[in-house]
Amino acid sequence: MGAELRNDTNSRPIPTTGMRGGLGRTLLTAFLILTILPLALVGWYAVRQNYINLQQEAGNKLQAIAVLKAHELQLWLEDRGTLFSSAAEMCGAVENAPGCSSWEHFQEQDPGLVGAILLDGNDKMLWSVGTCAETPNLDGDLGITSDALVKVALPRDEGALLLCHRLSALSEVLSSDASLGDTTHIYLIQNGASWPEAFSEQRRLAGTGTAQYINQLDVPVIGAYASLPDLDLGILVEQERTEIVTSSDRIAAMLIAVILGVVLVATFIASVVIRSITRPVIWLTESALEMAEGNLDQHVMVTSKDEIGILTYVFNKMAAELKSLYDDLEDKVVKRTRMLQQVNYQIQRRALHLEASLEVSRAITSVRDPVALLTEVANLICARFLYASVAVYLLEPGGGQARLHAISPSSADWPEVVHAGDGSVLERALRKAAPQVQMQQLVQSAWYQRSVARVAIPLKMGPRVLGALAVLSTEREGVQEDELKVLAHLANQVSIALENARAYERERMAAQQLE
Amino acid sequence: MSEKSKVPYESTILIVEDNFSNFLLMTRLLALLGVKKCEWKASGWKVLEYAETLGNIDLVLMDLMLPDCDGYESLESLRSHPRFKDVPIVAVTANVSGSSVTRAREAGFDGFIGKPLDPDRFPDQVRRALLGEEVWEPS
Repeated sequence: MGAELRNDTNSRPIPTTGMRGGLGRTLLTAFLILTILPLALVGWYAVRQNYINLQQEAGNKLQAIAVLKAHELQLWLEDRGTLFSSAAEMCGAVENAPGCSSWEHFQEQDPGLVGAILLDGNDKMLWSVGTCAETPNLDGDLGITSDALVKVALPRDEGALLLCHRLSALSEVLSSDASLGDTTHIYLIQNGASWPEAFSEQRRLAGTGTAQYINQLDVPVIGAYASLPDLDLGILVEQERTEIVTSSDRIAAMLIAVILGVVLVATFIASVVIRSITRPVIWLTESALEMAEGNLDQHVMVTSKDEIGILTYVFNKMAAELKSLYDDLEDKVVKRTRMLQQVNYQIQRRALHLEASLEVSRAITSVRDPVALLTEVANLICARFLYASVAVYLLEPGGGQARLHAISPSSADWPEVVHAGDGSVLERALRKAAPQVQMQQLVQSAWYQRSVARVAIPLKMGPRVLGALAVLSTEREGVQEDELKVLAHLANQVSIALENARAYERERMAAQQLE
Repeated sequence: MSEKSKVPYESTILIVEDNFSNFLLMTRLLALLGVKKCEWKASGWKVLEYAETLGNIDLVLMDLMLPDCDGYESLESLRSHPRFKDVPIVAVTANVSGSSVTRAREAGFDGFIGKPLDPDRFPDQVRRALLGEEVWEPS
């Protein structure tokens, strides 16, 4: 039933109030906002925190590496110095070191060591091997001067031993065991060279520090430094930020995927739930609109046992009652209207009869000839009363039979003579001296019920019956009581007029005989 | 309403005819056709008011020569009523001259059946008139 109803409503346009509707859309939007917004906020906060933490941890890690490397370099240089000085002492008098044959041996072992100078207490050079002269900075502004010389002073009892190392050799020491990630780089930088702007002179004086900046290769990095104040050197450790935050980006991507998944599932569940709520409401709305349009034959399928189910049930009941009330009312209105129309028609007919009886009365008093009188009466009654036919019978002298004296219209079907005892409506009226009505079935058929009324009114003069007035009425309701009275009254007048006419006739005959 | 009752045995026919024997002939022929409801108005007096008391009418057979009001006036009064605006009304008359047919056509009759009625053709003429056809058969 409900499905059929749906099909019906689908096939014809649903009346609307001009309003938009869209309860389901509103509910779904609210549901989605309530789901997505908190999830998105929590996700964003988690990713943000993770990002900050990762950067801090990376900074700390890089700082630790820088300090460790600085320490390692310091130790390595001290080791080298100790080794060199002890070798020099073994080689002979320190004062005569340039002649020592082990210098070449040393250089083979450590190609980064390019020269050594021994200074006495007054900073006066006692001897020197190799070269400690400054070479021009080949790499210019790069800040990492691979061929620059680093002079390391090792304090002795008197004076100091000055060792000159190639900077590139020191760099090799630093990067020897670095497994710090693909984009981690360690630089050894002289204080005179150009440092990243993030590490200002003042900050470098603090010894250590971390910063985020864009390096000379235009890559955003996180950097940490540790200075070696004795050597006028600093160690800079840089790692590209993209590598650090990769994991954070992965988490963000995963979070977005999870949120999208949750939203999808939530949307599906919400749409199912909302549909189950809004569908009956929409059906009810459509049915109510149909009812407002006047189509009261509405039934909505009850799909649930909740409040909406109850509402639907009550709506159906209400619609059915409304329809039955309305139908009853319409039925009653039709019946009453029909009745009123019938009564109205009858009243109009009665008025016509009264008017006609006056006219007939007037007419018959002016006619003196009995034959002419009866013909006039028949014609007038037939025409004014709208009967199918009218006939006037008069009793023959002796009273055995009545003969037809006037008929209107002339083609009407009435017997010429009425015999006593033939049982017809005329005979009965004559015998009983009272109006008689006989209904006559028109067609001998079970399904066609239409009859006409044959009415016979006796023409009486006191107790004496002169004849009868016969009428064929075609009205559906037959001949009413008051119609009979009007006819009886007319019959009386006809009787009087007839008697008058006869008396006049007799007087006239007598007068003629006297003459 | 008249859309539904196209079949004779479900139709209501109103005969406006002052001649009893003519009416008798018509109603017997209609009974042969199966018409159950056949109403008779014997004069032109208040045909519309009488028709209103009958409920639905599917066909009117109207004599043109009537006492009180003639067929044309009755047609006019029926046509003025919304309920009988579209009911087929067929003139039935003995005056079968060409001018009479033309006048009936101009007055708005839906058909014309000449008298005397042909008992062999009359039921078929009525059946076609009930189906909405125009029956113009003066002879």
